[in-house]
Order: sequence, then C-alpha cells, then structure tokens
Amino acid sequence: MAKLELKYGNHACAEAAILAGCRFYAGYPITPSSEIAERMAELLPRHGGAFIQMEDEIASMAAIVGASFAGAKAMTATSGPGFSLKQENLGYAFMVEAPCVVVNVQRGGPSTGLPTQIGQQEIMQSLWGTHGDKLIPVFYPGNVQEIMEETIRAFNWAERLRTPVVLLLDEVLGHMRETVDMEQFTPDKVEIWNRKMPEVPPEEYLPYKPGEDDVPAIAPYGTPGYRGHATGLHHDYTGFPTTNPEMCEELIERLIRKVKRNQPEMEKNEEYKLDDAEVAIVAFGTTARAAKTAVDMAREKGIKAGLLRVVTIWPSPEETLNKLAKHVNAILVPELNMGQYVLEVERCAKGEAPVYRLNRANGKVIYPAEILSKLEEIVKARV
Amino acid sequence: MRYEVRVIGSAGQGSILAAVVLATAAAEEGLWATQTASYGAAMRSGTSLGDVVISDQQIDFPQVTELDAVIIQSQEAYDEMVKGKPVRLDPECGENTADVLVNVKPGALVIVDEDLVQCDLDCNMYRVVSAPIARTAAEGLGRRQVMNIVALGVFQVATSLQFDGKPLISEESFLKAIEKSVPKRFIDLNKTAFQEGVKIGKAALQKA
Repeated sequence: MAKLELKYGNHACAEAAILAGCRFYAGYPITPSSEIAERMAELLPRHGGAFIQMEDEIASMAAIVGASFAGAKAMTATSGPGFSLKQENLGYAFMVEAPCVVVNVQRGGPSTGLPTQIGQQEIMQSLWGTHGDKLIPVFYPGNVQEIMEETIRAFNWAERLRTPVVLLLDEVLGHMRETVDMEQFTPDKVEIWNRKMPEVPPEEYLPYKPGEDDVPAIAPYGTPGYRGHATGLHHDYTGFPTTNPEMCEELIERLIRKVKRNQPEMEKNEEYKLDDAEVAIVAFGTTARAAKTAVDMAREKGIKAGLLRVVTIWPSPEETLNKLAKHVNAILVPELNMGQYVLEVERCAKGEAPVYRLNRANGKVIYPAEILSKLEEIVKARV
Repeated sequence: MRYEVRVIGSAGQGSILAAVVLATAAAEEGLWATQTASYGAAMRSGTSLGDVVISDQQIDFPQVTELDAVIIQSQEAYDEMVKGKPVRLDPECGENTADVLVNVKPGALVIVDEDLVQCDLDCNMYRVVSAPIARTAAEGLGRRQVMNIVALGVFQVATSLQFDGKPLISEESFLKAIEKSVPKRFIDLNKTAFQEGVKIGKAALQKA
C-alpha cells in the first residue's frame, strides 16, 4: 500500500541525504538550490551533524572534502555559477579520493543566466568541468520520489568507490511539490553502503594502496596511529607526491577504472514502450517526463515511439545506447541546452540510426506537444 | 485519470498556498499529485498562479496543459489570463504557442468569486460556479486572507459535477491537508474557512 506524502523537490533531496547518513553540509545559497541548504540547516543539528554556510562556493567544496576526510558523509548543493566555482576542488576530491556528493540544481546559463528558470546545460560540465582526465558518477533523477532514491544512491556510490558523485536536478524538479511513496524510505528498507576501513595495523598502513576493487581504504584523519597525507599532486601509496611515470600512470588509470568497471552495476535507465518502437527518445530529468507523455500521444497517432530515460548520465550507458540504435529507425534527443548529451548518444549510436535534436535554452520547458511535432517530422522525413 | 487545476489571483491572495493544500489533500486521498508555480512569489503586486496535477497513477508531465478546473480569485487575474481568450491561461506564452501550452478544456469547472470577478465565460461551454467567497471570508470569518481556503471548499463540492455526483477529494482529506500546510495557530481558522466554503459551494450548486 502506497504511503503518499507531498514533498518539495529540494527538501526531498535534503531529507534523503540525512537518511543516507549525511552528517555534514557546507554551502553557499544560490537559486534554485537554496532550499536544500535551508532544510539541511534545520535537519543536521537534530541528527548530530553540522551545517555551515561558508563564504563562497569554493570554500564550501573545500569544506566537504575536509569533512569527508574526517570520516563524515558530506554534501554541498549549488547551481550553475556556483557549480563552476566548485570545479577545482571537485577535481581535488577526485584526486585525493574524498567521497562526497555535489548537487547541482540546474538553471539557465551561461554565466548568471536565468536564475529562476530551468536549464539542462551542465550535462557535459558535470563530467568535464574540472581540468584533467576523470570519470565521476553523475545521476539525474526524474521525479521527486527519484530525487530521494538517487540522493541515497549518490551517497552509496561515493562511499563505496571513494569518489565525488554529482547529482543533477533541475529548477522544475527542485521547486516542484510531488507525491512520494514513503513506504520504501523507512529506515529498515533503505540500503546504506559505507566506505571501507583499513584492515591492517597502523605500521603497515598505506592510505593510497588500493584493494582488489581499485579502492584504497583510507582511515579517517585523527584515527590513532593511522597517519595520512593527501595532495592534489600525483602521489604514491603513501599519499606523498611523486613524478615517477609508472606510479602516475597507475594512479590515473586506477582512478578512472574504479568507476568504469562498475558501470554495468551503476547503469540505471527507465525503458518505456521500447519493445516495438521505431523511433526512440533519449531524455533525462524534467524533459524525460514531457517525452513520456509525448510517447503516449504519438502512439495514439499510430507512431511507434518509445523512451529511454537515462538516470545514470555518466558513465553513459554505451552498450544500451548502441543496442537501441540498432533496434530503431531514428533517435530523438530533446534537452534543455544547445545540444550536449546528443553528442554522447551519437557517439554510442555509431551511425546505426540517425540522431535528431530538439534543443532549447531560454528558460522554458519543452512541452509534450512539441516533442510530438518533432516525432511526426522525423517519421515523415524517413518514409 | 489526469485532472489539472490552476488557481489564479492577485498577489497576496494565497493562490500558491491553495494549490499546495489541494495537492496535499490529493495525497491524503491516496492520489498522486504534482504542484508547480512560476518561481518567485508575488506578495505585493501583480498576479500569481499555482498549478496542480492529480492522477490515480504516477504523473509523467508535471505541469498543466489542459485544465479541468480554474479557480479565479480576482478581476485582475481574470482580465490578464482569461478574459476574451478563454482558451489561453498562460500570461507568459505568445499567441503562436498558446495552443500547445495551457488550454481550458470544454466542460471544465470555473470557480469565481461572485463579488470580485465579472466573468463573461460561456456557461454552455464551462461549468461556472459563482459564490461569495471573499465576502464569506471577510464577513463570516473576519479574515479576508482565508478566501483561498474558502475557495477550495467551493471547489471540493463543485468537483461532484464532474465525477458523477461524488467529489474528487473528500472533505476529510482537505481538513487533514490544512493541518499539514498552515501554521498551527491558523489551523482552526482555515478549517472553518474550508467548511464555510463547502456550505456556500452547496448553495451555489443548488442555485445553478
């Protein structure tokens, strides 16, 4: 029996973070993410955690890396301009393997852009925004219920792989109230993963010596006897800098591999009416909801449409997208930017099916009827 | 089943709060709901709107496109969003995109304040229910601020016109929703406001 409760998107994110075990939040308010900070400020003290409003987004990102190294599950939330400011320390978190969750409630960009309106313009930035090669998990829920699920999943993967995880929302999701079935969020039903701890005595402890899963067991700072060192420089197992090409190569390859090898388990999509689909839509977030309605509208008109809603944006579902391209006559990628994820879909489609675009970056959502017209156009063009 | 409602009014009339209470009541009733609003509350001037989508299953597109009901709280909001153009209710959209954006379905419920709103909608096309909403709040309850909740009472009763004599959401669910949505010291006032709304709603239906 469903236990429905109306929840505000940004509040759902904060409440799920607490459920996942988050006990530290540092942030700097920015529309449309501020309600996450507000709720965390209310909730954290009640759960023995700490909330701090920092002087800016750069410091907020630095603070959650520090809290993470002290052993806390840590989170920050921001939007466009703030996400840009966080990039350097996000790269640092990746390099020093500090588990943390960075929420970006997307608004219209570039720059200060459209603060109060929706955008999906950080699809590429969430992976490539910070310098240097990297691979970090990026999740993008599609409704308020899923905001809770994905927030918990973001913490779990961050802890298991000792990596930052980016959780993308958008202004409509963050500022929307929606019913959530709370049945699945009772504490006994929520699965929580925690980071592994060193199993060796202090004298044998090497903070950056990876296990078989490519993940090192780093003791929280302050654990008696377990001495650590963290640096953004390339480092060896001790955590101290090195320029030894073999060590550097091992490090960068491992950092990417530890995420990549878990792609199959991390992959999460929703497939809707794809079995007999001739045209497939690939979409995410709020746009995917319009796409789902458009699929039904198209079916009523005799167009065999289907939807692949991608939740784990990065690492991308390469094989699933390739199989999809082989299976359909055309793919449409509607997104609230000037064409970002479409590049990844094209790459994975490997020319098996033509990939069409529907782009908008003016702060308005894409309506189902607009996707329907595009589908009709595509079908006409292909007959 | 997908049922879409828009509450429109002037700044400070609580259109968004009415939408929140309505969505919460739907959840109490065991229905799925989404509630959206254009960001930024109009507290002192201008018009504002609150949207709700209600369904017996999880909702795909969360915003309104085909309204089943409109609650109109002020002349200003009516003139800006409805008058002379009963098919278009989104002040932000241009004429060329109006058709794909927000329409009011024929047969939709239109709740208007009988003192505040001069409404010239075609009664053959829409189910127009007119009631002394603001007057009830101001004179009956001494608080004009609760007119949004009085309007919800009228709406609750009037949905029986669309669902074979049975309202979409029960009175009990609305009362629970009020408990959850308004500050403690105003709960009783708002509950009374809702019940008064139900009363004048019933009277209005009998008249019509």
